Amino acid sequence: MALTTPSSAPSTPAPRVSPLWHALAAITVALFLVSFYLVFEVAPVEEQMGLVQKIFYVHVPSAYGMYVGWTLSAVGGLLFLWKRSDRWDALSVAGAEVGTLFAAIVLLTGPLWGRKAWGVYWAWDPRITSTLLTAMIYGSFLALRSFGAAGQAEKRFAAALAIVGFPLLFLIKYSVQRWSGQHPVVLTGQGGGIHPDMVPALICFFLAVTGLAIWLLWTRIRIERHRQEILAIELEAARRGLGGES
Amino acid sequence: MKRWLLALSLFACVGAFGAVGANGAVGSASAQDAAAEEDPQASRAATFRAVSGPQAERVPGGLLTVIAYGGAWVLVLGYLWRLGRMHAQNERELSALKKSLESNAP
Repeated sequence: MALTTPSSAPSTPAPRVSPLWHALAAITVALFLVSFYLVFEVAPVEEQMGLVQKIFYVHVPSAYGMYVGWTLSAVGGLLFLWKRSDRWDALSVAGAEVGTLFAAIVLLTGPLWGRKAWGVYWAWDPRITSTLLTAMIYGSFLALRSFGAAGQAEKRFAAALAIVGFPLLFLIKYSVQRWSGQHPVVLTGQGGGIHPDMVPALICFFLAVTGLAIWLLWTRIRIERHRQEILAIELEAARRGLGGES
Repeated sequence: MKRWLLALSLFACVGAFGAVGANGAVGSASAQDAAAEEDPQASRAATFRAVSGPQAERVPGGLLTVIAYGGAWVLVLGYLWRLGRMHAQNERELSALKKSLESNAP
């Protein structure tokens, strides 16, 4: 890596943020505003559960965001082990963080709905249990990566964890069909489905969560890449005997 | 004769209520509350509770919904704050690196 010379270092411009990044942020905010209007004003109140059914609109798209994040983390981990390029490591870290964020939303909103629908906050249902198990695997990934600057060994181990966690996504998806359980199946074709007036709110929330997931992944990857570049410059400076304090 | 019938009916009623009470089918309100708090699922299977007052439901669905949406936003905003801190740390490290390189310039 070419080391920035001291004379040119102060004039190094700050990295420019793409206008698309700002546009995506604005579109995502707008989509969330429309989603809230559709959820609380347009979508009808469910006959059996009442208002608490509206948790469904944030719970299901968040589960989708969780799948997207963790899948990208596994893909990044696999490509990092293959190519040994830090850009794939950045994707793996970003995917794990964003996936775990959405998993936290899923594991927060689900029990709140369950309190009303089942009478208890938590049930050891196959889908809920497998979601918790997968969240713990990606949580261990994040714990491993939170111990400061990761070396090659930590990156490889974390990548392996991301790959190990990936098959569990299929377990979450198909556990309801395989072992039944009490988790609702309204969107799997097994139940009666949702009322047509509820569909626009759900679709809009899906789009909003997609925008948020892409924006968060983009932002996190950028930050991780900058961090990797700074670390590389620091290492190179130390190797050349420059900037010992950094 | 009427007095005998009245006494027998009273005895039967007392006996019936006593038997039901001894088997625990009618629990006191405090005992039901304690059982419900201990294990709501088991309590639901073993106890039928009467609604008291005008409130028809004990679990406030609206409040749970507000907590769910509020909690989701707290998590998202918390992550955005974390991203902001990471970005600021990168900026600080870059600035320190520049100063360090300048001070070591030949």
